[in-house]
Amino acid sequence: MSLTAIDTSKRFLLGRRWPLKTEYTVGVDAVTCEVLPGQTLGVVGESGSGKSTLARLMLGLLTPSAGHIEFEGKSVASFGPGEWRSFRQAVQPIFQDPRSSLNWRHSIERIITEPLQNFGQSPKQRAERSLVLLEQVRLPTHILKRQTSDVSGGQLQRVAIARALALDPRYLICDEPLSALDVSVQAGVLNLLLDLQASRNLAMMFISHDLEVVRHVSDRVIVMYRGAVMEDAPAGDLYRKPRHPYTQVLLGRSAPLPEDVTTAPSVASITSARGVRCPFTDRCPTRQDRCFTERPKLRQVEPQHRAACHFA
Amino acid sequence: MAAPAVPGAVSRTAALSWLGSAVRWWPLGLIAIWLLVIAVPGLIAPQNPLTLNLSNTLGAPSAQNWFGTDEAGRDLWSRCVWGVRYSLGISIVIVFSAAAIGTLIGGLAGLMRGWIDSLLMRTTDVFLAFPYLILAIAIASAVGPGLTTVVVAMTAVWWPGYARMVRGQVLALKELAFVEGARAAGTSTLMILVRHLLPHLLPQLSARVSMDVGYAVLALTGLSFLGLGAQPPTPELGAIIADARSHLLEAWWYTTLPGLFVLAAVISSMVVSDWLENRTKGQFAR
Amino acid sequence: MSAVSTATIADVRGLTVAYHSGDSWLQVVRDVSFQIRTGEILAIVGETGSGKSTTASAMIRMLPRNGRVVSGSVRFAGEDLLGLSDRAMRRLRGQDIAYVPQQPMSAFNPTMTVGRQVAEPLVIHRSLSYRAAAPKAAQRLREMGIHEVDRVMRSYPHELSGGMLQRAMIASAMICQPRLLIADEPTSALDVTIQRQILELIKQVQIEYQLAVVLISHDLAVVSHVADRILVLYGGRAAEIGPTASMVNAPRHPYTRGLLRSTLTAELGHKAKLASLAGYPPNPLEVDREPGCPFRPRCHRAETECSVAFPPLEGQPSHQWACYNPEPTA
Repeated sequence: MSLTAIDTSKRFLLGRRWPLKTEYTVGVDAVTCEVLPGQTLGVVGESGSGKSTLARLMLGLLTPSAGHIEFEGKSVASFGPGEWRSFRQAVQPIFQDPRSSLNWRHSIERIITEPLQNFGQSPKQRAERSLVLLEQVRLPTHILKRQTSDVSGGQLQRVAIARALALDPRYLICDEPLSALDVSVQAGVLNLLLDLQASRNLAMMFISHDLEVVRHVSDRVIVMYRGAVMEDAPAGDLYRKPRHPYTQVLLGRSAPLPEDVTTAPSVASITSARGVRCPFTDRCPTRQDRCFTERPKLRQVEPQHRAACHFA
Repeated sequence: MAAPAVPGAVSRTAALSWLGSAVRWWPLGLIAIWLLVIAVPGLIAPQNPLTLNLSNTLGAPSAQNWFGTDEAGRDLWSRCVWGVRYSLGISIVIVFSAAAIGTLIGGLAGLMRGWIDSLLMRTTDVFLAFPYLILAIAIASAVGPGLTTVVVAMTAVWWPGYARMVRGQVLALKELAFVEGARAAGTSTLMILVRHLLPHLLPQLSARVSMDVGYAVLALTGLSFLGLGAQPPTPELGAIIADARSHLLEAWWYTTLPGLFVLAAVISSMVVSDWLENRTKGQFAR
Repeated sequence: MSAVSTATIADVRGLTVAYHSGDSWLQVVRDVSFQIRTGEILAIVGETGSGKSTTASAMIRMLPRNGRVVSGSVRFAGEDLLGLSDRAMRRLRGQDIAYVPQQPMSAFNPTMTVGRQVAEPLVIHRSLSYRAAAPKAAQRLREMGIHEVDRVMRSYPHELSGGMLQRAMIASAMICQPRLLIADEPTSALDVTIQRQILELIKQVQIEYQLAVVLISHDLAVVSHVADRILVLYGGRAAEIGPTASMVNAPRHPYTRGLLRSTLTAELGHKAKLASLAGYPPNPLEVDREPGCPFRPRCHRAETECSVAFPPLEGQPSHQWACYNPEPTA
């Protein structure tokens, strides 16, 4: 029973270069990861790492270019309408900025109960449920009739969580749920997510650029760079013994090379889905010749611990 | 602002400021007046627009007949007021129908992309290519002239403009974050259009609709003037003007006054459209 | 503490700034005072509604059209900036006082090369031609850690990453050797690894040029690594101000303490709950409605006097707080 990405890749069409050479941007590059009940999979990466694309693949909002997503044993690609319904009910998102990820022309009540509306509940049932949901996210009931502009960012994120809980999902995909919130409010929302996971045995995917938070909430962590997994380990091990040079850079234990002048990683385009060199070669402080000619595979360096580096 | 000295009394400044803000909404009053005229023309035109009175044909404006009478003795004021119901009322129906059809088609095309988008847009292009006049003539020669003919011809030719506009907007709107949130919550494509995108489309749509009503009035009265639309004795403004043409020299008021009604209707629609556009500027984002 | 000159270069007293909204005036900064000394980094930390960005804008007189300084003074090198003519103020900006904004991507003109924009302050203030100014611009860029200087000079902003642009922005800010640098959330839009580098760069620049720096941020933990002193704002008011070490190890204001305690520390067990502050930062539109301390609704140490009037500043001259019931020292 899990939500798993198996060797999943997603590339985006950039344009067609005359004559017949199509250019792609790699969003996600052969990622394998799983989200298990009662556990949190942390995903760490900077901008351009592909973590948000991975979230959307797991949510079924994007179709993989290669590989597939498996939901409790069945491949998402083979879903019929009935299976999609079950999937939507079971897998819900929490996005980064509630001000843009929630329709600001709707009232709070409408936002929270829309999933219920899609699944055919009557207005009366929806109204009752909305009160229950508000209580679960610790929001006052008077907020129901308000518009999103009257509500603070922290409260709005709780509204987003209430909406995600409406259908009683088993999997929660959180894409940077704290990043848009005020610092003094982040802890409260984080505590809420931890509580919810514990009480409902939720399977959670927690995506963030903030390593400290990811370490705190995750059981297992994958580190992404330019769409590929660089390291995959239990949270504690990753922080005690990071094996990949990029993880070490992220943890502040080493400094990356000065940035390249050309385009930022998030808009880099490479002409094939799998390059011949390690994606981290442009910033790796310990790069060698081999790194430019042979792309390292994700290999086991310790029990339960994998890294994509020749020298890990 | 100090509280009023007498409880229950409204302070003068409060009343004035409310009035000031209410005045900003005056175009709505204009819409209300026109809608009233369409709904209950009898309110300001008690005389029957169809009653013949052959003893008083082409009478000049008088106390009894404010606009005078036409060649059959019918009270011109009543005919014009009732004519608003046809000229303006039916134009409104045409434009709203066109907008509804166009929004649905353009919205689905923009949301679903792929072959559906291509199919819908090519269909739209075909309809867009038709000049409404030729189409009206064609339909009239098939099933005979009449208001129905004209309504069908005009709606058929008007909806593609909306389809194009809405598709363009939807293409941009669907990139907004809440759309994928809606999809993740299991919302169907149609419901995304209706529940989520429509509120964001309404500002521009309403400005365009109110402007198009003006153009539709001109088109409709024009077609009726040519004899393709309203048939006698229907008091449609364009038809009235057509009848009045032959009496231009003896009864100048006969052509002028219905024309003024058309002018008033069209100007009103433009004013309302302008006002809507100014009010909804920048509401696309937030 | 290094042996540097501690002369005060800027002195803000009782600064109150209001915005005109609808038909009323909203005070978003109320009676805020602080000093900035040469050779020192002062961090101004606050969240939504704190007024930190407004304070920075008010200091260099770049408030939006509906903003006004209601009272107070901003003295820079002896002169009150608020009383200066527009012309005199323009002379100061870019030359004596530099400003680095939050989003480097939008702060640069997309139609001009980066090199031209880095050199621009020299062209404006020192009447040099672009050709004469170019070598200086190149030199600054090199100082800011950019290696392929020629290429960067010839690039357009969209061709560079956020981190590179921010370095170029700082180079541009420093090119006329200002005495005061105001950086408004310079790293918020950047990736974590770059954030650290940019903050280090600012620190480096500050030491080398004996600059006074005002660093605006929403993240107390992040700035505590480079700031010498920290001013914490809440609801438009100054809550606490003091040397970084005291602020971090012995904060007296409940808000400061709450902020520090709600961050992750090594001692917390895996998946344990964090100590969180109840409630939410004040709505900027309602911040000035209630008398008393704006933090009262969220404060676990609130007493009756807290809702009556805003507490006065107390403490030693180096470390002050505005609280009737401050946290104990231990």
